[in-house]
Amino acid sequence: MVAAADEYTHPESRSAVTVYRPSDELEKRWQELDPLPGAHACFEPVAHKNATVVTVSLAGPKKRLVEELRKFKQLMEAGEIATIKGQPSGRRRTPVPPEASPILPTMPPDQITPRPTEEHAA
Amino acid sequence: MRAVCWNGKLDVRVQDVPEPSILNPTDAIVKVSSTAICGSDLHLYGGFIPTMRKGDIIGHEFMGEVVETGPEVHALKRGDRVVVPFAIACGHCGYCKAEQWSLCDNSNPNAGISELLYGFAGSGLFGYSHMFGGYAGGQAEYVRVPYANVGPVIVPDSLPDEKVLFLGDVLPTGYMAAEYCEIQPGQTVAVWGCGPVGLMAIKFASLLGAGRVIAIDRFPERLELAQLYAKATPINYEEEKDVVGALKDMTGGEGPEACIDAVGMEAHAPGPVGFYDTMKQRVKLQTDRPHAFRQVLQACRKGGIVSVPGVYGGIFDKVPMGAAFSKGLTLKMGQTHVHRYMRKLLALVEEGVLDPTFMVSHIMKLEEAPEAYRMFREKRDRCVKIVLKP
Repeated sequence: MVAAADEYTHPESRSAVTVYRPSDELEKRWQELDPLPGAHACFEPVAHKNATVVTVSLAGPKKRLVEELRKFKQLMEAGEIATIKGQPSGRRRTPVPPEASPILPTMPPDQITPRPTEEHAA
Repeated sequence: MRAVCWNGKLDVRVQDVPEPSILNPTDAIVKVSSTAICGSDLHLYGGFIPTMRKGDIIGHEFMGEVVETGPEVHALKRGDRVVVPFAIACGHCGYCKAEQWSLCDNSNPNAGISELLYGFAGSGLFGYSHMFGGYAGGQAEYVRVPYANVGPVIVPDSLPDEKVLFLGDVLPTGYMAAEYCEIQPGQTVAVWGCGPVGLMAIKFASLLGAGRVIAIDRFPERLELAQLYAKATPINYEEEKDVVGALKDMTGGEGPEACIDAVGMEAHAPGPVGFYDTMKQRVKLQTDRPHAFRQVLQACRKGGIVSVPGVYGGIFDKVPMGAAFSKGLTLKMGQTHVHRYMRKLLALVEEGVLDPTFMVSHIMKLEEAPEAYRMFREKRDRCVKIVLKP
């Protein structure tokens, strides 16, 4: 078996986050989504907060670990991952399409309540 | 659509930009009917808030009509007239559950930037730099509102925009500033800064039971508003050089029980102190000019409470922490937990107890935003609060 390059170039990184959801639910979703392949994840209930501390270790840069763990928390608690990708600005003439999320599918357009036409709005 | 874009220090432009779209299932799109320029927008305008990018759409006080909703939005429908809180909150994290909405753990897509600067990240904010999420703001014809089930509050058609627009920022910010003071009946509260937040803090300090509220500013028209609409006792610090001494004399030598810093990071100071702060800020040896905060710490009564709704962004110098420590002061501050107060304050507006329209000095077109920003910064034409109409 050939080890991934990260195992040689990076020591093990470790990060923890508190997620306000039950531990069994989080463990199940973690296994389904597998957001950090090869990572070791530990789920420890915190009864007085009705939350779970998720601790993850992985050979690789800590920054990526922290960011993926943050997205997992967002998805588990809020049901979506915070984003500004695709919003307007004065920097460009056309919006960039939203970035595909590895764990949240892009919304089908027919699920969005359409904006009324100007005549309708009036 | 047309939108106010930040293009650098003292440079905002009204530009053609694409319309926003639904990006997440609980997003809504709001067609803006009114939007205001906040005093804290001047910190962006002056180039004092880091992580702004040219082309960012700014503005965090706005209201309008819901014109589009994502598939998971159930609290709003098309046609609803809403006011939107400036802080963006998911409604489900530990902080939101504790009603500390502006500390939301999940709404800031750029939390990593804030963590580098502050250790932890606050919530996302509309139109207020990339370290607070980089969200496009509401000084535009349309705005995307994330977590639409949580933030926007539906307002009745019977109330004009100018009566309810400020529920998204100034009213809750003034209220929280006063609430933090834990005012007991008859106590004295001193408020530095008579901009819209300061005026509201003065008003609410009175409503919450203060016996006397002392207003400190240098603009006569603002002090007049504080006197007329909030029954404050004014101190013009360009006439009264020893503000701390004056406050001591006015309170039988004890000092005010609570002091509110509604000035924040761009405090003006006469004489060498002001020169020192300005120079240090200019050469980037400090990010903020904290003169009002210094005075607040000096003036507050022993064992008193200091409440800071004024925005601070980074680091500053020569703050008398020893005074705060030796007097046993309690310091309370932070971005407003807007969601906590909106409905309560809407009820006060509906009952006629509260009418914030007295602050509105100018109503202008969105297209006039560059001139509006210049006028507000220079405090020309008795400018206190500007509402822009797209």
